[in-house]
Amino acid sequence: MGVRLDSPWQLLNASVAEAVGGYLGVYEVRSFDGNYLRIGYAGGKSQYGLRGEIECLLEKYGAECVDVRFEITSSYLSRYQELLMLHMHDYGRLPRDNAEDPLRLGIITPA
Amino acid sequence: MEGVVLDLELSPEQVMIVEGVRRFVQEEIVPLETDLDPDADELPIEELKRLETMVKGMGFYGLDIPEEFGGPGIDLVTRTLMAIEMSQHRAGLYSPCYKSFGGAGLAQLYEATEDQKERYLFPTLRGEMRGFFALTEPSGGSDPARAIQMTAVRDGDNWILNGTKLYISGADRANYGIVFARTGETLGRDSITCFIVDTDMDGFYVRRIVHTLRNSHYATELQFENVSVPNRNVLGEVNKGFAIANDRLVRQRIPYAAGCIGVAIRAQEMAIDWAKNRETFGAPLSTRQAIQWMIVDNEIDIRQARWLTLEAAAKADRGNNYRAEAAMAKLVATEAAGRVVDRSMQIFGGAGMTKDLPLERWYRELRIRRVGEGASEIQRIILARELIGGSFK
Repeated sequence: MGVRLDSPWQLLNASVAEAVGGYLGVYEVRSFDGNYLRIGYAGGKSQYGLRGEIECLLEKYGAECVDVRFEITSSYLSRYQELLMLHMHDYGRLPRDNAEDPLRLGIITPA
Repeated sequence: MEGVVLDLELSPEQVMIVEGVRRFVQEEIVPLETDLDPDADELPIEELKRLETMVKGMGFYGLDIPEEFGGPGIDLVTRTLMAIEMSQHRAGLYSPCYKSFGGAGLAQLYEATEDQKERYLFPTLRGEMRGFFALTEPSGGSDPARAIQMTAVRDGDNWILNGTKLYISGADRANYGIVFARTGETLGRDSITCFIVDTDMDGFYVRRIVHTLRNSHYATELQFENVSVPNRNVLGEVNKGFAIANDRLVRQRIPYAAGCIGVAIRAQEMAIDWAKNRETFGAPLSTRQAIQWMIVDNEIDIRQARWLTLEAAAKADRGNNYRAEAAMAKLVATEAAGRVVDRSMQIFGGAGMTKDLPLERWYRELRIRRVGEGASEIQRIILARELIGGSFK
């Protein structure tokens, strides 16, 4: 597993939600101009896992308006925090729609 | 016979403290967990502050801070009893009461120079700074005296550090760390020095998070590239880094063991309750011999671990050498708790495997306890030396 997500970006639509299972994991959402909009996770309290989270993203952003990618992992909390820290390292701020997350993030500097 | 504890009754003060902590966990901590992710290890800031205020009002904040530095001055037996209670919730093994009882800083800093205490220890105790402890490297952790490959080379008034540390907790959020590096020519304890490294020093990097069984409370990998550390940041003496705070490190093993016991007790309580209410083939599980024997074996494991841990604490409080007892407590409690949670999961059947219950989290996290703070094999080595050396009676 690399430090950054390396799964391919997919156009967010209903077929992506149908294909992904109810697994635990993390996801990233990006606008077409490359700006990260949200980093999130499907954790132990999510009703339908990544599938449920992707469906919520469809409601929030609309079909075929953004790109999404995800990673299946049981270490969803530590991976989620790592992705946020990576984003802070790369861009100096959180993704637009993560600003409200009450997290106390650390600092990492990938090689 | 030296070291035998015969008085098994808690004092009225201890009973009051234990009951107070138990009530705090049940009434303040457990209800908060219904809204948290099953693997969470932190509370929202406002909740943490509220609980810290309550704990300060109880007089228990900073439990592990030595009394001469402002701690509440609780003896180790009572501290152990409290640790058993404090871990009895979902996140209790690695975040007992979500750290609302306050931290103690790094044990080594209590042996620091006055200048170092002013710059690091006291701000840490005030909650203004956080530290990490970095001993393990990719080359090894159980035998750091030989495994440490990080070097520190004298350069005028500074030391230049180069190397990598692995499985380090909290470094990504810390202001400084205690780092062990090789300063001598030989392999062995007598060539290791302990340094205090500020995380904003050039060349210090937290490269990645190391993802483990423990979903939260993660570890990190650190890299030191020509980090220049001033000589005044040497902790203790050059080439004598391992000598620092050994007694405090041994002492820490006792609450560490106690946390495992608390989780095991809670798992046992859950298992008994389930067995009395869950029916198969027309009768409660509790009527089945297979289940009864699991519950009995759980109780034996718990009581053995508890008595050994309290014995170690009592010996420490009397000022006797308790190194062997602490090793035995850590070894027995970590392994026993794993067995108890495993049996409890079996009693729960499929439900025991879900995140709806805390058992699967405790199962994963307890597996780590058999390695952390000195692996079970290391504790056995310590005990073998004591026994065969003839000093253990």
